[in-house]
Amino acid sequence: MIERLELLAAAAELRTNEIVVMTMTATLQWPQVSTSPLDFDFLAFGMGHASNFGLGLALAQPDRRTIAWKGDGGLLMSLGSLATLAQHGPENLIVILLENRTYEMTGGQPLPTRVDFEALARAAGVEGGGTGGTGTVERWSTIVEARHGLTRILVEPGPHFVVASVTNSAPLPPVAHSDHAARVTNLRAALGL
Amino acid sequence: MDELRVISPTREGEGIAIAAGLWTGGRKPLVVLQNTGLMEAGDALRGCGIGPRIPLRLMIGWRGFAGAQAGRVPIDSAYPATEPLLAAWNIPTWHLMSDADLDIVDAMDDEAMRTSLPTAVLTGWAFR
Repeated sequence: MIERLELLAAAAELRTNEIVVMTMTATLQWPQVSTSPLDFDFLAFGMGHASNFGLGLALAQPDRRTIAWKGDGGLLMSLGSLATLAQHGPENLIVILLENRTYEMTGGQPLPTRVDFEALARAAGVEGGGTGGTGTVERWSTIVEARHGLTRILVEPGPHFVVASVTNSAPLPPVAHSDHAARVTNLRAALGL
Repeated sequence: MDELRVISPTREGEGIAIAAGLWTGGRKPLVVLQNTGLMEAGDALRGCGIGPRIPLRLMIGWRGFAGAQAGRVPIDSAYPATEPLLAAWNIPTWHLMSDADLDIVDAMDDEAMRTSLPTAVLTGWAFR
């Protein structure tokens, strides 16, 4: 199990010019480790759709990588997105599933206990899939695995789907509902659009 | 002609979110869906279109229109719900019912660009 804030800090340290799409509870912690104009807060943009939004960004911006962080509860709401990732996911897309086995944002209700997210991704065809046939599926259970994995997938062609087993003991800041339209215009400006 | 790339997601809400990402990244997507898919995609349309003012262009097949026009019963419940739903979201909507109506696609496009909000055309049985 990885302490989530430690994982986010490692990602913030290792990323360079990637777009980072963050959603749900992790959006509260990401600003503690990153203030890049290429960060995008997807909170309240559409339940379960962070990686779909990231897929669109990655297709539109083929010269840089897009990292979409997604919750396991959100993935259960959009399991079909795995099949879409396997079919249409470009090589510059990374999806990192923060697996904490709860609907944390809505009070910590437990997820169905028997679901295997790695197996779902493989069954959907992500491994060896994507537009380049270079898709990968992997699991990170320790911060050491995560750092090694991040270093690798930030340069190797994907799409990459990672299940990161996380917990959180850090206090969570309150939700800050910034202007949604401004989030879009700010990222577009950072991309030179 | 510019390149046209088709992406086929597994449900309409996915398509809305992918389109929002494409537009945010500098592309110009068109979302083609059925009215029942519009109903499925409600939260995505709210969150990825209306809220953040992303000018999504929606081309919506009007299921139930032909049957209703022909007087067939029962009326497909998707038919009468479609226009009130779009109106409730304040989405400007045009009817694309024949080849002669094709100019309204430009009108939809222009309005989306002018307002930076989603716009739609509804297509019925006569369009081919």
